Amino acid sequence: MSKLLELKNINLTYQTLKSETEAIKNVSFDVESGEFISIVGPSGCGKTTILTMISGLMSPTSGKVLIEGNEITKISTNVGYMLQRDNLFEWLSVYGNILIGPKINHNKNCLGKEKLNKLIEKYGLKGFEKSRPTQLSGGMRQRVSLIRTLALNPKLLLLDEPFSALDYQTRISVQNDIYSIIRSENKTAILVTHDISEAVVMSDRIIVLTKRPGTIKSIINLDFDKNLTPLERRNDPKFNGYFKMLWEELQ
Amino acid sequence: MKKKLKVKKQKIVVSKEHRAYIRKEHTKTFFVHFFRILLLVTLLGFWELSARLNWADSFITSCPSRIWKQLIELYSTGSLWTHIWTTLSETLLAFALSTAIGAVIAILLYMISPLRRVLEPYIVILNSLPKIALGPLIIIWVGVGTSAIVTMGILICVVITTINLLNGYLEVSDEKVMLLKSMGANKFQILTKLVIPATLPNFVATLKINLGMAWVGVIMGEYLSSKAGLGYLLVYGGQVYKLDLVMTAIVILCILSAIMYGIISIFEKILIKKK
Repeated sequence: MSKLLELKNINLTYQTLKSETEAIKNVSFDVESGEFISIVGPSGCGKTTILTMISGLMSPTSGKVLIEGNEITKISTNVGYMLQRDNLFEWLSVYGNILIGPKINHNKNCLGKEKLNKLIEKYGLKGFEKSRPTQLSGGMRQRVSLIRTLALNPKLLLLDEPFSALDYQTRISVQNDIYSIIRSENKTAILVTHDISEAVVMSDRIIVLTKRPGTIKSIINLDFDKNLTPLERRNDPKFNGYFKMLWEELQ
Repeated sequence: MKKKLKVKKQKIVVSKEHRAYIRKEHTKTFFVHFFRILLLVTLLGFWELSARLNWADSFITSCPSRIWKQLIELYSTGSLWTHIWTTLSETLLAFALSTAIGAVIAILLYMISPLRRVLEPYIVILNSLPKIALGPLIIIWVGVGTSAIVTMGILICVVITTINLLNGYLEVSDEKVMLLKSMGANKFQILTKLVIPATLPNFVATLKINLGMAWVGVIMGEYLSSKAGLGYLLVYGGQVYKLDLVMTAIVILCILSAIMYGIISIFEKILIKKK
Protein backbone atom coordinates (compact mmCIF):
# COMPACT_ATOMS: atom_id res chain seq x y z
CA MET A 1 0.00 0.00 0.00
CA SER A 2 1.11 3.50 -0.73
CA LYS A 3 0.36 6.75 0.95
CA LEU A 4 -2.35 8.54 -0.99
CA LEU A 5 -2.89 11.44 1.35
CA GLU A 6 -0.69 13.08 3.94
CA LEU A 7 -1.66 15.87 6.30
CA LYS A 8 1.36 17.48 7.92
CA ASN A 9 0.93 19.74 10.96
CA ILE A 10 -2.22 21.37 9.71
CA ASN A 11 -3.37 24.49 11.53
CA LEU A 12 -6.31 26.60 10.60
CA THR A 13 -7.46 29.85 12.12
CA TYR A 14 -10.66 31.56 11.02
CA GLN A 15 -10.44 35.32 10.88
CA THR A 16 -13.36 37.66 11.39
CA LEU A 17 -13.37 41.38 12.21
CA LYS A 18 -14.39 40.68 15.78
CA SER A 19 -12.27 37.69 16.58
CA GLU A 20 -9.86 35.01 15.58
CA THR A 21 -10.91 31.39 16.03
CA GLU A 22 -8.49 28.53 16.10
CA ALA A 23 -10.39 25.71 14.38
CA ILE A 24 -7.73 23.08 13.72
CA LYS A 25 -4.55 22.66 15.68
CA ASN A 26 -1.61 20.58 14.63
CA VAL A 27 -3.43 17.77 12.84
CA SER A 28 -1.32 15.19 11.04
CA PHE A 29 -2.35 11.85 9.59
CA ASP A 30 -1.76 9.67 6.54
CA VAL A 31 -4.25 7.75 4.47
CA GLU A 32 -3.20 4.68 2.53
CA SER A 33 -4.60 3.99 -0.88
CA GLY A 34 -7.80 1.93 -0.58
CA GLU A 35 -8.44 2.80 3.05
CA PHE A 36 -11.75 3.89 4.50
CA ILE A 37 -11.23 6.49 7.22
CA SER A 38 -13.81 8.14 9.43
CA ILE A 39 -13.37 11.38 11.30
CA VAL A 40 -15.58 11.78 14.35
CA GLY A 41 -15.71 14.41 17.05
CA PRO A 42 -18.02 16.80 18.87
CA SER A 43 -19.89 19.28 16.69
CA GLY A 44 -17.88 22.32 15.72
CA CYS A 45 -14.57 20.49 16.13
CA GLY A 46 -13.53 21.19 12.55
CA LYS A 47 -14.32 17.87 10.87
CA THR A 48 -15.78 19.53 7.80
CA THR A 49 -12.97 22.08 7.78
CA ILE A 50 -10.46 19.26 7.39
CA LEU A 51 -12.35 17.92 4.36
CA THR A 52 -12.56 21.40 2.86
CA MET A 53 -8.79 21.73 3.11
CA ILE A 54 -8.18 18.31 1.56
CA SER A 55 -10.48 19.24 -1.33
CA GLY A 56 -8.44 22.37 -1.98
CA LEU A 57 -11.44 24.66 -1.46
CA MET A 58 -9.61 26.23 1.48
CA SER A 59 -5.92 26.46 2.37
CA PRO A 60 -4.57 25.71 5.83
CA THR A 61 -3.09 28.63 7.80
CA SER A 62 0.02 26.52 8.14
CA GLY A 63 1.01 22.97 7.32
CA LYS A 64 0.76 20.92 4.17
CA VAL A 65 -1.76 18.65 2.48
CA LEU A 66 -0.11 16.21 0.07
CA ILE A 67 -1.77 13.91 -2.41
CA GLU A 68 0.57 11.27 -3.79
CA GLY A 69 3.42 13.38 -2.49
CA ASN A 70 2.35 16.59 -4.24
CA GLU A 71 1.17 19.55 -2.23
CA ILE A 72 -2.39 20.64 -2.95
CA THR A 73 -2.40 24.19 -4.22
CA LYS A 74 -5.67 24.23 -6.13
CA ILE A 75 -8.82 22.21 -6.55
CA SER A 76 -8.14 18.89 -8.19
CA THR A 77 -10.44 16.29 -9.65
CA ASN A 78 -8.31 13.70 -7.86
CA VAL A 79 -10.56 14.48 -4.92
CA GLY A 80 -14.33 14.02 -5.08
CA TYR A 81 -16.49 15.78 -2.54
CA MET A 82 -19.89 14.52 -1.44
CA LEU A 83 -21.88 16.84 0.76
CA GLN A 84 -24.50 16.32 3.41
CA ARG A 85 -27.38 16.93 1.05
CA ASP A 86 -27.28 15.30 -2.36
CA ASN A 87 -27.53 18.73 -4.04
CA LEU A 88 -28.88 17.23 -7.23
CA PHE A 89 -29.89 19.81 -9.81
CA GLU A 90 -33.67 19.57 -10.04
CA TRP A 91 -33.77 20.99 -13.56
CA LEU A 92 -31.57 18.21 -14.94
CA SER A 93 -32.33 14.55 -15.47
CA VAL A 94 -30.47 11.86 -13.52
CA TYR A 95 -28.13 11.45 -16.46
CA GLY A 96 -27.69 15.21 -16.79
CA ASN A 97 -26.72 15.37 -13.12
CA ILE A 98 -24.19 12.60 -13.50
CA LEU A 99 -22.62 14.38 -16.47
CA ILE A 100 -22.11 17.75 -14.71
CA GLY A 101 -18.55 16.98 -13.67
CA PRO A 102 -17.38 15.62 -17.05
CA LYS A 103 -19.00 18.60 -18.80
CA ILE A 104 -17.24 21.10 -16.55
CA ASN A 105 -13.92 19.37 -17.18
CA HIS A 106 -14.54 18.88 -20.90
CA ASN A 107 -14.30 15.11 -20.34
CA LYS A 108 -10.67 15.30 -19.24
CA ASN A 109 -9.73 12.45 -16.88
CA CYS A 110 -13.38 11.46 -16.57
CA LEU A 111 -15.16 8.16 -16.87
CA GLY A 112 -16.47 7.50 -20.36
CA LYS A 113 -20.17 7.15 -21.08
CA GLU A 114 -19.81 3.39 -21.33
CA LYS A 115 -18.36 3.14 -17.82
CA LEU A 116 -20.98 5.53 -16.47
CA ASN A 117 -23.78 3.48 -18.01
CA LYS A 118 -22.31 0.43 -16.32
CA LEU A 119 -22.33 2.20 -12.95
CA ILE A 120 -25.91 3.33 -13.51
CA GLU A 121 -26.96 -0.21 -14.26
CA LYS A 122 -24.92 -1.78 -11.48
CA TYR A 123 -26.32 0.52 -8.83
CA GLY A 124 -29.97 0.17 -9.68
CA LEU A 125 -30.61 3.35 -11.59
CA LYS A 126 -31.17 1.85 -15.01
CA GLY A 127 -34.43 3.08 -16.48
CA PHE A 128 -34.26 6.22 -14.36
CA GLU A 129 -31.69 8.05 -16.51
CA LYS A 130 -34.29 10.46 -17.82
CA SER A 131 -36.14 10.89 -14.52
CA ARG A 132 -35.98 14.09 -12.55
CA PRO A 133 -34.37 13.92 -9.10
CA THR A 134 -37.76 14.71 -7.49
CA GLN A 135 -39.05 11.38 -8.80
CA LEU A 136 -36.39 9.41 -6.91
CA SER A 137 -36.26 8.11 -3.36
CA GLY A 138 -33.73 9.47 -0.89
CA GLY A 139 -31.51 6.44 -1.30
CA MET A 140 -31.55 6.63 -5.07
CA ARG A 141 -30.71 10.32 -4.94
CA GLN A 142 -27.63 9.57 -2.84
CA ARG A 143 -26.54 6.92 -5.31
CA VAL A 144 -26.93 9.40 -8.17
CA SER A 145 -24.90 11.86 -6.13
CA LEU A 146 -22.16 9.26 -5.62
CA ILE A 147 -22.04 8.31 -9.30
CA ARG A 148 -21.86 12.02 -10.13
CA THR A 149 -18.80 12.21 -7.89
CA LEU A 150 -17.30 9.02 -9.33
CA ALA A 151 -17.76 10.34 -12.89
CA LEU A 152 -14.67 12.49 -12.40
CA ASN A 153 -12.73 9.38 -11.49
CA PRO A 154 -11.36 10.72 -8.20
CA LYS A 155 -8.73 8.78 -6.27
CA LEU A 156 -10.01 10.05 -2.96
CA LEU A 157 -13.63 10.51 -1.91
CA LEU A 158 -14.59 12.97 0.79
CA LEU A 159 -17.95 12.20 2.36
CA ASP A 160 -19.35 14.94 4.57
CA GLU A 161 -22.16 13.35 6.58
CA PRO A 162 -23.78 12.12 3.37
CA PHE A 163 -26.36 10.04 5.22
CA SER A 164 -27.49 12.42 7.93
CA ALA A 165 -30.40 13.83 5.95
CA LEU A 166 -31.90 10.36 5.39
CA ASP A 167 -34.37 8.59 7.64
CA TYR A 168 -32.98 5.77 9.76
CA GLN A 169 -34.02 2.84 7.61
CA THR A 170 -32.89 4.44 4.35
CA ARG A 171 -29.65 5.50 6.00
CA ILE A 172 -28.72 1.92 6.88
CA SER A 173 -29.39 0.63 3.40
CA VAL A 174 -27.67 3.57 1.71
CA GLN A 175 -24.62 3.07 3.96
CA ASN A 176 -24.51 -0.46 2.64
CA ASP A 177 -24.88 0.64 -0.97
CA ILE A 178 -22.34 3.44 -0.82
CA TYR A 179 -19.86 1.27 1.04
CA SER A 180 -20.06 -1.50 -1.52
CA ILE A 181 -19.77 0.94 -4.41
CA ILE A 182 -16.67 2.55 -2.90
CA ARG A 183 -15.11 -0.86 -2.18
CA SER A 184 -15.84 -2.34 -5.59
CA GLU A 185 -14.53 0.75 -7.38
CA ASN A 186 -11.37 0.55 -5.24
CA LYS A 187 -11.67 4.09 -3.95
CA THR A 188 -10.11 5.64 -0.89
CA ALA A 189 -12.59 7.45 1.29
CA ILE A 190 -12.71 9.83 4.22
CA LEU A 191 -16.07 10.01 5.97
CA VAL A 192 -17.01 12.74 8.38
CA THR A 193 -19.81 11.75 10.71
CA HIS A 194 -21.25 12.35 14.14
CA ASP A 195 -22.92 8.94 14.13
CA ILE A 196 -20.77 6.53 16.16
CA SER A 197 -22.27 3.35 14.75
CA GLU A 198 -21.87 4.65 11.20
CA ALA A 199 -18.16 5.22 11.79
CA VAL A 200 -17.79 1.71 13.26
CA VAL A 201 -19.60 -0.12 10.45
CA MET A 202 -17.91 1.67 7.57
CA SER A 203 -14.29 2.35 8.42
CA ASP A 204 -10.93 0.68 8.63
CA ARG A 205 -9.70 3.43 10.91
CA ILE A 206 -11.41 6.11 12.97
CA ILE A 207 -9.80 9.43 13.80
CA VAL A 208 -11.27 11.00 16.93
CA LEU A 209 -10.98 14.77 17.26
CA THR A 210 -11.15 16.86 20.42
CA LYS A 211 -13.48 19.80 20.69
CA ARG A 212 -12.36 23.14 19.26
CA PRO A 213 -9.61 23.72 18.44
CA GLY A 214 -9.69 20.29 16.82
CA THR A 215 -6.68 18.11 17.50
CA ILE A 216 -6.36 14.37 17.13
CA LYS A 217 -7.39 12.72 20.37
CA SER A 218 -6.92 9.14 19.28
CA ILE A 219 -6.92 6.85 16.29
CA ILE A 220 -8.83 3.58 16.50
CA ASN A 221 -7.96 0.73 14.15
CA LEU A 222 -10.90 -1.56 13.43
CA ASP A 223 -10.29 -5.19 12.83
CA PHE A 224 -13.39 -6.58 11.13
CA ASP A 225 -13.37 -9.33 8.58
CA LYS A 226 -12.62 -7.63 5.24
CA ASN A 227 -15.66 -9.08 3.51
CA LEU A 228 -18.28 -7.92 5.95
CA THR A 229 -20.79 -5.35 4.72
CA PRO A 230 -21.78 -2.51 7.05
CA LEU A 231 -25.03 -4.32 7.75
CA GLU A 232 -23.17 -7.51 8.70
CA ARG A 233 -20.76 -5.55 10.86
CA ARG A 234 -23.70 -4.36 12.94
CA ASN A 235 -24.32 -7.99 13.92
CA ASP A 236 -20.66 -8.84 14.46
CA PRO A 237 -19.66 -9.48 18.10
CA LYS A 238 -16.85 -6.91 17.76
CA PHE A 239 -19.32 -4.14 16.95
CA ASN A 240 -20.42 -3.43 20.50
CA GLY A 241 -16.86 -3.30 21.79
CA TYR A 242 -15.81 -0.73 19.21
CA PHE A 243 -19.00 1.22 19.73
CA LYS A 244 -18.33 1.43 23.46
CA MET A 245 -14.69 2.34 22.91
CA LEU A 246 -15.64 5.18 20.57
CA TRP A 247 -18.40 6.32 22.90
CA GLU A 248 -15.94 6.61 25.75
CA GLU A 249 -13.41 8.43 23.58
CA LEU A 250 -16.02 11.01 22.77
CA GLN A 251 -17.01 11.66 26.38
CA MET B 1 -60.71 -14.69 -3.77
CA LYS B 2 -62.16 -12.96 -0.76
CA LYS B 3 -59.32 -10.46 -0.76
CA LYS B 4 -59.81 -9.73 -4.44
CA LEU B 5 -63.51 -9.05 -3.95
CA LYS B 6 -62.78 -6.67 -1.13
CA VAL B 7 -60.32 -4.71 -3.24
CA LYS B 8 -62.81 -4.46 -6.08
CA LYS B 9 -65.54 -3.22 -3.78
CA GLN B 10 -63.22 -0.65 -2.29
CA LYS B 11 -62.28 0.57 -5.73
CA ILE B 12 -65.89 1.26 -6.64
CA VAL B 13 -66.49 3.14 -3.40
CA VAL B 14 -63.42 5.28 -3.92
CA SER B 15 -64.24 6.07 -7.50
CA LYS B 16 -67.76 7.09 -6.56
CA GLU B 17 -66.45 9.51 -3.98
CA HIS B 18 -63.83 10.65 -6.39
CA ARG B 19 -66.46 11.32 -9.02
CA ALA B 20 -68.49 13.31 -6.55
CA TYR B 21 -65.39 15.24 -5.59
CA ILE B 22 -64.59 16.03 -9.21
CA ARG B 23 -68.14 17.17 -9.82
CA LYS B 24 -67.99 19.41 -6.75
CA GLU B 25 -64.73 20.97 -7.85
CA HIS B 26 -66.06 21.53 -11.37
CA THR B 27 -69.15 23.20 -9.96
CA LYS B 28 -66.97 25.46 -7.83
CA THR B 29 -64.86 26.45 -10.83
CA PHE B 30 -67.97 27.06 -12.88
CA PHE B 31 -69.37 29.41 -10.24
CA VAL B 32 -66.12 31.31 -10.01
CA HIS B 33 -66.18 31.93 -13.77
CA PHE B 34 -69.87 32.68 -13.68
CA PHE B 35 -69.53 35.34 -10.98
CA ARG B 36 -66.52 36.85 -12.69
CA ILE B 37 -68.54 37.45 -15.83
CA LEU B 38 -71.61 38.47 -13.84
CA LEU B 39 -69.57 41.11 -12.03
CA LEU B 40 -68.31 42.57 -15.31
CA VAL B 41 -71.75 42.56 -16.92
CA THR B 42 -73.37 44.11 -13.85
CA LEU B 43 -70.79 46.86 -13.61
CA LEU B 44 -71.01 47.66 -17.31
CA GLY B 45 -74.82 47.50 -17.21
CA PHE B 46 -75.02 49.77 -14.17
CA TRP B 47 -72.58 52.19 -15.77
CA GLU B 48 -74.58 52.30 -18.99
CA LEU B 49 -77.87 52.58 -17.12
CA SER B 50 -76.68 55.40 -14.90
CA ALA B 51 -75.71 57.31 -18.04
CA ARG B 52 -78.95 56.60 -19.89
CA LEU B 53 -81.15 57.49 -16.90
CA ASN B 54 -79.08 60.57 -16.16
CA TRP B 55 -78.08 59.42 -12.68
CA ALA B 56 -74.64 60.60 -13.61
CA ASP B 57 -73.41 63.08 -16.17
CA SER B 58 -72.09 60.87 -18.94
CA PHE B 59 -69.99 63.76 -20.20
CA ILE B 60 -67.90 63.26 -17.07
CA THR B 61 -68.28 59.52 -16.47
CA SER B 62 -68.62 58.35 -20.07
CA CYS B 63 -70.33 54.96 -20.57
CA PRO B 64 -69.79 51.66 -22.40
CA SER B 65 -71.80 52.64 -25.47
CA ARG B 66 -69.91 55.93 -25.83
CA ILE B 67 -66.62 54.07 -25.42
CA TRP B 68 -67.68 51.66 -28.13
CA LYS B 69 -68.64 54.57 -30.39
CA GLN B 70 -65.29 56.20 -29.72
CA LEU B 71 -63.52 52.96 -30.53
CA ILE B 72 -65.36 52.69 -33.87
CA GLU B 73 -64.50 56.31 -34.63
CA LEU B 74 -60.81 55.74 -33.93
CA TYR B 75 -60.93 52.63 -36.05
CA SER B 76 -62.67 54.27 -38.99
CA THR B 77 -60.26 57.20 -39.05
CA GLY B 78 -57.49 54.65 -39.11
CA SER B 79 -55.72 56.05 -36.08
CA LEU B 80 -56.62 53.19 -33.71
CA TRP B 81 -53.86 50.88 -34.90
CA THR B 82 -51.36 53.72 -35.07
CA HIS B 83 -51.92 54.56 -31.41
CA ILE B 84 -51.92 50.94 -30.31
CA TRP B 85 -48.81 50.09 -32.30
CA THR B 86 -46.96 53.19 -31.09
CA THR B 87 -47.48 52.34 -27.43
CA LEU B 88 -47.10 48.59 -27.89
CA SER B 89 -43.83 48.86 -29.78
CA GLU B 90 -42.43 51.33 -27.27
CA THR B 91 -43.44 49.04 -24.42
CA LEU B 92 -41.94 45.96 -26.03
CA LEU B 93 -38.74 47.84 -26.76
CA ALA B 94 -38.48 49.20 -23.21
CA PHE B 95 -39.32 45.76 -21.81
CA ALA B 96 -36.75 43.92 -23.92
CA LEU B 97 -33.97 46.46 -23.43
CA SER B 98 -34.51 46.85 -19.70
CA THR B 99 -34.59 43.07 -19.22
CA ALA B 100 -31.36 42.67 -21.20
CA ILE B 101 -29.57 45.58 -19.51
CA GLY B 102 -30.84 44.55 -16.07
CA ALA B 103 -29.70 40.95 -16.61
CA VAL B 104 -26.22 42.01 -17.73
CA ILE B 105 -25.82 44.34 -14.74
CA ALA B 106 -27.14 41.68 -12.34
CA ILE B 107 -24.69 39.10 -13.71
CA LEU B 108 -21.77 41.55 -13.44
CA LEU B 109 -22.71 42.43 -9.87
CA TYR B 110 -23.02 38.74 -9.01
CA MET B 111 -19.68 37.81 -10.51
CA ILE B 112 -17.73 40.77 -9.13
CA SER B 113 -18.56 41.03 -5.45
CA PRO B 114 -16.37 44.09 -4.72
CA LEU B 115 -18.35 45.94 -7.40
CA ARG B 116 -21.55 44.80 -5.71
CA ARG B 117 -20.42 46.13 -2.36
CA VAL B 118 -19.36 49.47 -3.82
CA LEU B 119 -22.56 49.99 -5.81
CA GLU B 120 -25.08 48.71 -3.25
CA PRO B 121 -26.10 52.10 -1.74
CA TYR B 122 -26.37 53.68 -5.18
CA ILE B 123 -28.69 50.94 -6.38
CA VAL B 124 -30.87 51.38 -3.30
CA ILE B 125 -31.13 55.13 -3.93
CA LEU B 126 -31.81 54.68 -7.64
CA ASN B 127 -34.51 52.18 -6.80
CA SER B 128 -36.33 54.54 -4.44
CA LEU B 129 -35.91 57.58 -6.68
CA PRO B 130 -39.18 58.43 -8.50
CA LYS B 131 -37.95 58.09 -12.07
CA ILE B 132 -40.50 60.59 -13.37
CA ALA B 133 -38.32 63.23 -11.71
CA LEU B 134 -35.77 62.54 -14.42
CA GLY B 135 -38.31 63.57 -17.11
CA PRO B 136 -36.87 67.00 -17.91
CA LEU B 137 -33.35 65.58 -18.10
CA ILE B 138 -34.44 62.80 -20.43
CA ILE B 139 -36.06 65.23 -22.82
CA ILE B 140 -32.99 67.44 -22.90
CA TRP B 141 -30.53 64.57 -23.15
CA VAL B 142 -32.16 62.20 -25.62
CA GLY B 143 -34.68 64.52 -27.24
CA VAL B 144 -38.44 64.32 -27.47
CA GLY B 145 -40.41 61.48 -29.01
CA THR B 146 -39.88 57.74 -29.06
CA SER B 147 -36.35 57.82 -27.67
CA ALA B 148 -37.47 59.78 -24.61
CA ILE B 149 -40.44 57.48 -24.05
CA VAL B 150 -38.41 54.30 -24.34
CA THR B 151 -35.71 55.77 -22.10
CA MET B 152 -38.31 56.51 -19.45
CA GLY B 153 -39.61 52.95 -19.77
CA ILE B 154 -36.12 51.52 -19.38
CA LEU B 155 -35.28 53.72 -16.39
CA ILE B 156 -38.41 52.62 -14.59
CA CYS B 157 -37.77 48.91 -15.25
CA VAL B 158 -34.05 48.42 -15.16
CA VAL B 159 -33.26 48.96 -11.48
CA ILE B 160 -35.97 46.67 -10.19
CA THR B 161 -35.00 44.04 -12.78
CA THR B 162 -31.40 44.20 -11.63
CA ILE B 163 -32.34 43.93 -7.96
CA ASN B 164 -34.77 41.03 -8.49
CA LEU B 165 -32.38 39.02 -10.64
CA LEU B 166 -29.40 39.68 -8.39
CA ASN B 167 -31.33 38.63 -5.28
CA GLY B 168 -32.29 35.42 -7.07
CA TYR B 169 -28.67 34.73 -7.97
CA LEU B 170 -27.49 35.36 -4.42
CA GLU B 171 -30.04 32.92 -3.02
CA VAL B 172 -28.60 29.96 -4.95
CA SER B 173 -27.42 27.49 -2.33
CA ASP B 174 -23.81 27.87 -1.27
CA GLU B 175 -23.51 24.09 -1.07
CA LYS B 176 -24.30 23.71 -4.76
CA VAL B 177 -21.77 26.42 -5.61
CA MET B 178 -19.19 24.61 -3.45
CA LEU B 179 -20.01 21.32 -5.14
CA LEU B 180 -19.32 22.76 -8.58
CA LYS B 181 -16.16 24.44 -7.33
CA SER B 182 -14.96 21.10 -5.96
CA MET B 183 -15.45 19.72 -9.46
CA GLY B 184 -13.14 22.41 -10.77
CA ALA B 185 -15.78 24.75 -12.20
CA ASN B 186 -14.78 28.33 -12.93
CA LYS B 187 -16.98 31.36 -12.20
CA PHE B 188 -18.45 31.41 -15.67
CA GLN B 189 -19.37 27.70 -15.49
CA ILE B 190 -20.98 28.23 -12.09
CA LEU B 191 -23.07 30.96 -13.70
CA THR B 192 -24.16 29.02 -16.76
CA LYS B 193 -24.48 25.53 -15.27
CA LEU B 194 -25.99 26.46 -11.93
CA VAL B 195 -27.00 30.04 -11.23
CA ILE B 196 -28.95 30.83 -14.39
CA PRO B 197 -30.88 27.54 -14.67
CA ALA B 198 -31.55 27.45 -10.92
CA THR B 199 -33.08 30.93 -11.00
CA LEU B 200 -35.24 30.47 -14.08
CA PRO B 201 -38.52 30.68 -12.10
CA ASN B 202 -37.30 33.94 -10.55
CA PHE B 203 -36.44 35.18 -14.04
CA VAL B 204 -39.97 34.57 -15.26
CA ALA B 205 -41.41 36.26 -12.17
CA THR B 206 -39.16 39.23 -12.91
CA LEU B 207 -40.40 39.32 -16.50
CA LYS B 208 -43.96 39.59 -15.23
CA ILE B 209 -43.16 42.48 -12.90
CA ASN B 210 -41.06 44.11 -15.59
CA LEU B 211 -43.84 44.00 -18.13
CA GLY B 212 -46.19 45.88 -15.81
CA MET B 213 -43.45 48.41 -15.10
CA ALA B 214 -42.75 48.85 -18.82
CA TRP B 215 -46.39 49.87 -19.39
CA VAL B 216 -46.12 52.37 -16.54
CA GLY B 217 -42.88 53.78 -17.92
CA VAL B 218 -44.10 54.12 -21.48
CA ILE B 219 -47.38 55.78 -20.52
CA MET B 220 -45.41 58.15 -18.28
CA GLY B 221 -43.04 58.82 -21.17
CA GLU B 222 -45.96 59.54 -23.46
CA TYR B 223 -47.30 61.99 -20.88
CA LEU B 224 -43.98 63.80 -21.13
CA SER B 225 -43.80 64.10 -24.87
CA SER B 226 -45.66 62.28 -27.63
CA LYS B 227 -47.58 62.77 -30.82
CA ALA B 228 -49.29 59.39 -30.83
CA GLY B 229 -49.92 56.43 -28.57
CA LEU B 230 -52.37 55.55 -25.83
CA GLY B 231 -50.65 57.85 -23.32
CA TYR B 232 -51.02 60.64 -25.86
CA LEU B 233 -54.76 59.88 -26.16
CA LEU B 234 -55.05 60.02 -22.38
CA VAL B 235 -53.34 63.41 -22.11
CA TYR B 236 -55.08 64.85 -25.16
CA GLY B 237 -58.49 63.53 -24.08
CA GLY B 238 -57.98 65.05 -20.62
CA GLN B 239 -56.93 68.41 -22.03
CA VAL B 240 -59.92 68.79 -24.34
CA TYR B 241 -62.34 67.19 -21.85
CA LYS B 242 -63.05 64.24 -24.14
CA LEU B 243 -63.46 61.71 -21.37
CA ASP B 244 -64.77 59.11 -23.81
CA LEU B 245 -61.34 59.15 -25.37
CA VAL B 246 -59.65 58.80 -21.97
CA MET B 247 -61.87 55.85 -21.03
CA THR B 248 -61.35 54.21 -24.42
CA ALA B 249 -57.58 54.45 -24.05
CA ILE B 250 -57.80 52.90 -20.58
CA VAL B 251 -59.92 50.03 -21.89
CA ILE B 252 -57.45 49.36 -24.72
CA LEU B 253 -54.58 49.40 -22.21
CA CYS B 254 -56.39 46.86 -20.03
CA ILE B 255 -56.88 44.53 -22.96
CA LEU B 256 -53.31 44.89 -24.23
CA SER B 257 -51.66 44.31 -20.86
CA ALA B 258 -53.89 41.28 -20.26
CA ILE B 259 -52.83 39.81 -23.61
CA MET B 260 -49.14 40.39 -22.95
CA TYR B 261 -49.42 38.94 -19.46
CA GLY B 262 -51.10 35.92 -21.01
CA ILE B 263 -48.23 35.51 -23.45
CA ILE B 264 -45.68 35.51 -20.62
CA SER B 265 -47.76 32.97 -18.69
CA ILE B 266 -47.73 30.68 -21.72
CA PHE B 267 -43.96 31.20 -22.00
CA GLU B 268 -43.68 30.26 -18.32
CA LYS B 269 -45.69 27.08 -18.84
CA ILE B 270 -43.49 26.05 -21.77
CA LEU B 271 -40.36 26.66 -19.68
CA ILE B 272 -41.68 24.63 -16.76
CA LYS B 273 -42.73 21.80 -19.04
CA LYS B 274 -39.27 21.78 -20.57
CA LYS B 275 -37.83 21.59 -17.09
